[in-house]
This record gives sequence, structure tokens and C-alpha cells, in this order.
Amino acid sequence: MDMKIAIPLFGTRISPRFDFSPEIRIITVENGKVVRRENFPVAHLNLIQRLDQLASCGVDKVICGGIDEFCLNQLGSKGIEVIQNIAGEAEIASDLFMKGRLRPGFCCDRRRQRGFCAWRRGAGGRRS
Amino acid sequence: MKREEGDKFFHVILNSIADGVFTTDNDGKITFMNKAAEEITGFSSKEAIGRYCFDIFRADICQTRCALKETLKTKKEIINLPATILKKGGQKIPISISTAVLKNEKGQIIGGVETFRDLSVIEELKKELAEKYTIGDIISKNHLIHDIFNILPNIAESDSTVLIQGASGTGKELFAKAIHHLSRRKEKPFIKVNCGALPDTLLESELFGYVKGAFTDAKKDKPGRFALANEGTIFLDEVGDMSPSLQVKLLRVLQEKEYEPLGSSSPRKTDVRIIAATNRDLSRLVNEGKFREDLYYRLNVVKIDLPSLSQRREDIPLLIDAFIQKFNAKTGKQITRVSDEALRLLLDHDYPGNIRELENIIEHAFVLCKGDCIDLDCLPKEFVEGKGEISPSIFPKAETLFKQAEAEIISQTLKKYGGNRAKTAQALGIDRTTLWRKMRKYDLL
Repeated sequence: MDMKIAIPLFGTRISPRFDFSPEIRIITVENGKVVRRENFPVAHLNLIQRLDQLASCGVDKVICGGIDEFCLNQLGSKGIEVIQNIAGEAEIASDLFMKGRLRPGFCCDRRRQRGFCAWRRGAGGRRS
Repeated sequence: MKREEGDKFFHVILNSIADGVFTTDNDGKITFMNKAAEEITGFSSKEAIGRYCFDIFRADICQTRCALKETLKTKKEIINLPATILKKGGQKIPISISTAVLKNEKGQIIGGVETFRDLSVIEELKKELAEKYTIGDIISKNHLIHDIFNILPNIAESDSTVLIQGASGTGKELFAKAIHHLSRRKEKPFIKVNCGALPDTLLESELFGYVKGAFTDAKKDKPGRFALANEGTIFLDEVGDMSPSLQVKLLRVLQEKEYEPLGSSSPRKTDVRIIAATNRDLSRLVNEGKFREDLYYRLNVVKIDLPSLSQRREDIPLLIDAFIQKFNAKTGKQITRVSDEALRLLLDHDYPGNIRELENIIEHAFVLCKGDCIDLDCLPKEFVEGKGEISPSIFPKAETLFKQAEAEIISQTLKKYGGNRAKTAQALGIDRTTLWRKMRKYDLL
């Protein structure tokens, strides 16, 4: 399974807003394994340029926090699937996604006391 | 009063106010959220407590200049800071934010409190007044519109003249405004002129202005729309209705970037981006000699063809929702839905008047609607009566498809025979009179 996943970032966390993320991580998956992780600054791009960049990078899926209807429709029209309302650490979210366990609305925070990743269905949401 | 009782009392008060309130600890994690905050954000307090406020609040300022962070740092209150949050369902809500620090009995800072007010209604009305529409205000799931969205930023950046073609009510002006607001000229004026609404001489003085003494009542200089739009954008609506003499003058503006006000002998320079629009087929007007060919090519640098509403039926439910929100804000009513029967009728209609017709139908329904649901009896009588049997289908009727196909075949055959009607009629196996009748019916004359 080859694909490219984009995660709008806010530090190491998933950006709460798709349209205001200062950075985007693009994860390349080949034969079901992550082969590359690259971060791109996007603060200087306007919304349309951000959307265009995702399409020109060949992104298939976007894992993000909040996203408005306009962006959702635009990504849909470019054939990009969106898993929205995800909060927490980007690393945990991408791991859960690769295991096929990420669902819209998950909160991917680390439980420090127990030392392992945990999620809870926090914010609700839908897959588009 | 005991502490527990005091807390309960405090929660009852906070839950009874209309403004959203939440509190955070020093790390920015939510410790309390009132009922109004739940309603405005769409998140329940159960979902929110223990989470970072930016993951719940999702304001446009969260990642760049968080008001609460600033207050905790400076210990200074912030009052009525405008922002836009993203509700759980994805809707943008304009709000105003106020923040303050929270202290314990010993005076130590234990976190912050943020109160916010939903400004949706006020902002909707402001937008209506200022007519400040952006690309995000164009509502569509249709692929034809999305193709236009994709090229719109490039068009906006280019500064080239744009020609927008589309039937009445398809949103030509909205697209023109979206181009203006995406362009480098966005801080400068957007001036609209309806070339079809004014007689020739009046339109000339409207466009180019006049100097004192140009005619009897010209007691002082009056700047035209080109002067008012300087460094901005001028939107020439219904440009196909312009007279030949004015077409020459507009051509001069496009070629030489200069014009002469009425009664003046010295030309004025202009730096204006022109967006022209028409509901007529300009290339056909050129062929008929009613529109200058050189002007057509000057205007047609970038052309946008807007589809009619019947070509983007999937957008009808979205548009109905948007108009309900708009008129709720305007009228203060709280209509939340459309009955199944009314919706079926609205989805089945052909909308020759396009989006404007749909908007008028919803506005009519708002006048008559007393409850929270638009029912059949709220819709215009002629609209309901003219429908006959209600079809459950949202697809175009067979009759409409047949008419479209017939018009297309006639137009193609005419083109093939260079407009020769006798040969076209013969090729189609119909009488010349029938061909003429059908050409008139489909506006192909």
C-alpha cells in the first residue's frame, strides 16, 4: 500500500486548525511502511496555495484537527480523504493510522504515568 | 456559606449567562466550561475538561497570539478581542474574547478565565452591509465550480482582464468580488457599474465622469467610476448591453489605460483592473456585429463560464441552508429546517432564475413562516401550483434533458452548415419554419 499522508502541525501536535497550521508533515508510505517524514513550513502560504501544495505533493489523506466545510470540499474535489477532529501528538496519530486504528474525533495524547500511548474518543467527528 | 455550596452557586450563575466561559490551569488545560460555551463551541464540558484549550476552542488566534497566554504572561486583562473559532461541526463562528487571570485565596495565579460572545448574527449583517464576500462565501460541491476555484487565485494574482459569462442569478458578481479580495488590489475599492441599467449618455458620464461646464447642469467636476476605482477593481456588469460608441471608449481604456471625462480634452491615466460580466453570448453578438470584435478579445483575456443552478443541483441543499442562516440573522427568526414535501419541491425545480430565484423563494418563505420549519404553505403560491405532481427525483426531468439535447443538436448542425438554415433544416429532416420556431424557442436566432 503506497500513499502520502499530510498532517498539519502545531509544534509536535496536530494543529487545531487545518487553515492556520504553521507547518505540514508529509509522510510517505511504501509497501505499508513509513519510508519518509518531511516537514514543510506553510505559514507564508494562503489557503488556496496550501490546498494546491497538498495536491501537487500527491497527498492521498489528510489527518487534521478542525477543518471548515470549504476546505473539506476542496480537498474532496482533489480526491484527498480527510480524517478530521483529531487532537494530540502527530506521531501517535500517524502510528494509530498505520495500525488502522485512527478514527475521526480521537485524542492522541500520551499517558505519562503509564508510559504508553493511549487515545480516547474525545471530540467526535466524521470521515469525509 | 460553605465552600461546596459556594461552588454550586457559582456554577449555577455561570451556566445561566449567555456568554461562553471557560477556565484553564496554568498549562492551558480546561478546568471548567459553562453551558453557553458548550453551545458555541459544540463540545460538551465532558469532552473539553482536561484538554488543551486550543484543541477545543480552535480560534484563528490560538496558534499565533493566544489571548489567554498573553494575559497569564502580562497579568493584564484583554477585552473584546475579535476572533473566529471553528465549531465542532466545522462551521466558523465569529466571536469577541475577553480574558483575565484566576487567583487563589493567597493571591497566587492558578490559571486563566476566558469569556466569549457569539457574534454570528452581527457579523452576518455587517457582511451583508459591506458586501465583503470572499471565495469561502461561494457555496458549492459541484465539480465545475471547483474547477473555477482552482484557477481563481491564479486569475486574481495575474491582474488580467476577466470576462465572466453566465445566466442571470448565477453569482457573477460574487465571483468578481472573490477575485478582487484575492488580488493585490483587495485593500483598494471594488466599484460596480451595471452597463445595462443606464442610458448611453448617463453611462458615459457615470464611467468617465465630467468636468465643470460639460453640460448645462455640470456645475462642478464629477469623478467617474474609473476614477473612484483607481488602483482597485471595476466590475462592468451586463457589458454586452453597451452601445457601440461606448464600446470604443472602453476599448481605449483597455488599450491605452486612459480616458477622457465628458467635456474634457485632456486624457486621464487610470490604473484599474477590469472584470466584465454578461449573461449574453458575446461571441455570438460579435458574429452578429452587435459587439466589437477587438473589444471582445481585449475583455476575453481570461474567461470564466458559470454553470446554471440546474447544472449544479447537488448545491441546492447547501444553498437552502446558507439562505436560511442568512435570513435568520436578518429577520431574527429561528428557522431550522425545511419539511420533506417542501424540500422535494425545491430540489425538483428547474430554477430559470438560478440562485437568485432560490434566494427569493426562501425569503418569501421567511415572510410567511411562523414556526421553525419551512412548509409547503410558506412557499410562493405560483411556485407550488406550477409544479403539478411532485417528483421525488433530484435529477433533471426527462423533458428538460430532451430540450437541452434538442437545442444542442440544432446549434451544432447550424454551426456545421455555417448558419445556413435551409441546409440545417434539410439535414435535421424538419421544415424550415419548424427550425426557425425551435431556434427562437432556444434563443439561437
